[in-house]
Amino acid sequence: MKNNLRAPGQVKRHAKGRPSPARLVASLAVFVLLVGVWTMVSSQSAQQGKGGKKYVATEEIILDKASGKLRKPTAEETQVMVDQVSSLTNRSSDGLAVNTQANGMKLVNLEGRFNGVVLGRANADGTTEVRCVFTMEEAAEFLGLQEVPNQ
Amino acid sequence: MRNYLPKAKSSLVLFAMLMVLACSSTAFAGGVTIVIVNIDGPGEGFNDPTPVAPVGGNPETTRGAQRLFAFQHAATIWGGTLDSPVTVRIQAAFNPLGANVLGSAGPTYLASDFGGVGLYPGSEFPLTWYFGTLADKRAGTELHPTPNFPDINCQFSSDFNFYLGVDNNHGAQNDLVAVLLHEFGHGLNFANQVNESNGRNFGATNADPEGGLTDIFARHTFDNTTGLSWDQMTRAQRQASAINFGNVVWNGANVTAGAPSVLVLGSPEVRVLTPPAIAGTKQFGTAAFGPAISSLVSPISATIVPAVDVDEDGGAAAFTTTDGCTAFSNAAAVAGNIVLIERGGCGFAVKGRNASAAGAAGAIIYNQLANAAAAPPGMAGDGINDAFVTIPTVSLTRADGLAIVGQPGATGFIGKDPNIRAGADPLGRVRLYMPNPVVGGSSGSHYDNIAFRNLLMEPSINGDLTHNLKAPDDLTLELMRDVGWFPDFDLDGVATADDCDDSSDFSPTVVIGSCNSGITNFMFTDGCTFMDKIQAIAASSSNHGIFVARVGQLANALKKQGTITAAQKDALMSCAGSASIP
Repeated sequence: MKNNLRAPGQVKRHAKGRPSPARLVASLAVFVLLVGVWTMVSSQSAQQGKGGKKYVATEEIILDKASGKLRKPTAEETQVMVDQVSSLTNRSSDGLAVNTQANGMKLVNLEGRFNGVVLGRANADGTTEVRCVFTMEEAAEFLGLQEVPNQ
Repeated sequence: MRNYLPKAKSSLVLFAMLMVLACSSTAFAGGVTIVIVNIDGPGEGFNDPTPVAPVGGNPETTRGAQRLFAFQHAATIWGGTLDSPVTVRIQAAFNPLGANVLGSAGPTYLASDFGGVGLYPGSEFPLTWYFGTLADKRAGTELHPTPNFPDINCQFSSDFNFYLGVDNNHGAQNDLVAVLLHEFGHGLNFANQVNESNGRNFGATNADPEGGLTDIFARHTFDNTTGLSWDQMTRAQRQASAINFGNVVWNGANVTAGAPSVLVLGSPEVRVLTPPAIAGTKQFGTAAFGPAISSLVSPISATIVPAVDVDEDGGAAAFTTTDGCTAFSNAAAVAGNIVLIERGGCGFAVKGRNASAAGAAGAIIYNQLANAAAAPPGMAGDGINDAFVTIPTVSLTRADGLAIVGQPGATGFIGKDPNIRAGADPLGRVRLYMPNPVVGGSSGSHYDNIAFRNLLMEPSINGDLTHNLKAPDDLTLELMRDVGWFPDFDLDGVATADDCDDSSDFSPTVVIGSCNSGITNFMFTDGCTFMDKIQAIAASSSNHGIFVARVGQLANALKKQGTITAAQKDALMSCAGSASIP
């Protein structure tokens, strides 16, 4: 993406001769605009993670090995959890190629989507409640993850 | 057993013959071979060399080998329960997963509109997706073009301390075998392919949201409100059905037939009885503390009284006079009645304890403003107050709670309906889990968690599950039958109920007594081999003459059809005549 933003056209114009100030300003404005858009997109992907949504942990569901007490998942743990569950439970068929054979049979590889995910929620008594979910929304409810609205 | 020739085209019979020949070296004993394909690297997961002591029937002495043994044990249970001539390959690994993520599993591919080899029936319905495992079984052959392509892909957490024994004696630990049985079940087609958040079938697109194909699980997912199954619905109807709590059932005949031997009579219910404006059965959540509704000898029918207690922070947001976090100031009114408490401020068990101390007969906790759109929560205990909760405690949505608050003197019911099975509808069809709004495990690919006894394919992997998959312990096999895993002990592609002999003799040639006729022991379209026919004649003939005559009738018919030659007929009759039968 950065290479594209470096605008090969500009290099070409330099090679041909000096551009007019107006064209220079216009080119600069386009460049700044594109860089701005690129930065915004990058920033959003970093905040949202692979699942496209950002969540915050609200419940103590991890039994801390060091203290032996329940604690909330850290922001980093939450993000890893969300990324994994979002990817595994992807229930969209977009982009999956359906192969139709001569005899009419259709076959499609699921490419790692449509999984059931087994989650565990630690209880105070040391036991773990286990739940099988098929969507990120179910996982969020079970694990007490609250979606943070996009800014 | 029938002794007449099937009215089949000879090409079909020849096709079946080829299949029998191809399988003639296989020992037929039903079942399906399930192979665990270990994709872990050296020293990790299944190959973890950490020494461990044998546990619960698992004799292995390294952590990795114990994991593999548990996997193979679960695979063996499924393998002995279903029948398929095609090996199921489960690609598996143990990896460090995210916190609270214990594992995952799912099918690797789908197929629709496939035919069957020999007598195998192919897909039961057109334009219907099947998971690869079931599609292969019904096709009688591996459908995926890539040799040895995995059918199910799964991974489990290498950080979580599962019980690795295979004796189900897991105590407070989580039983890996039970979890695997559940997840393998999903991979074997105990799941739909619908995107329940928008109601779309698999293959639908933004441009064609009503498009795509239904799937075999969705065909049996039936909504009592609309009277439609999911394959008959529009996208919007499916989306609405996916949150139609208590009203979506499995309509397959095998599950319905098995339910009475598994599910107890006495469906747990929370109802508002009066006033009529708010009366009805309510969606509710259960508590991990206090007596369960299912354990109540008699139901509680009483006035519902909102709790009143001190506002600990004098009007600040953390506490209210309705949160039940301290001793109730209206304990006299609460005593003997059902107390209504607002969620928040303190743990659920604290509220339950205070309600018990006030002498309430039962407690209802409804969601506070912060959870206004949430489903009634499952209420965990805190390990401290749990033991002091002596009354049944349930949760309701905020809307239901506020409706009761707005009707002073409302009466309610917490208990079991003795005429409905726990987990079924009034017609005895088993409920699927479709709460509103979405909660953990609420996709329609599970039985409702209200079922009792507990079922393997509920969203929660409960600690009291057996490792049995069928009635009277469970209803997983019955659902598999409904989606098309027909029983077929001799793996000839003909379902046991339709098979003229479901333990066919697959000898390569027709042998009568000690005489080998040299004729290929082909299969008829009714599921009997030539040998089965001869043996049936032998069993039903009262003397040798009758036996020879009836073999002669069969031979003549086959010769006339062109299935055997005159020489083969002579060889057969020679063997029949020389045999000491009966």
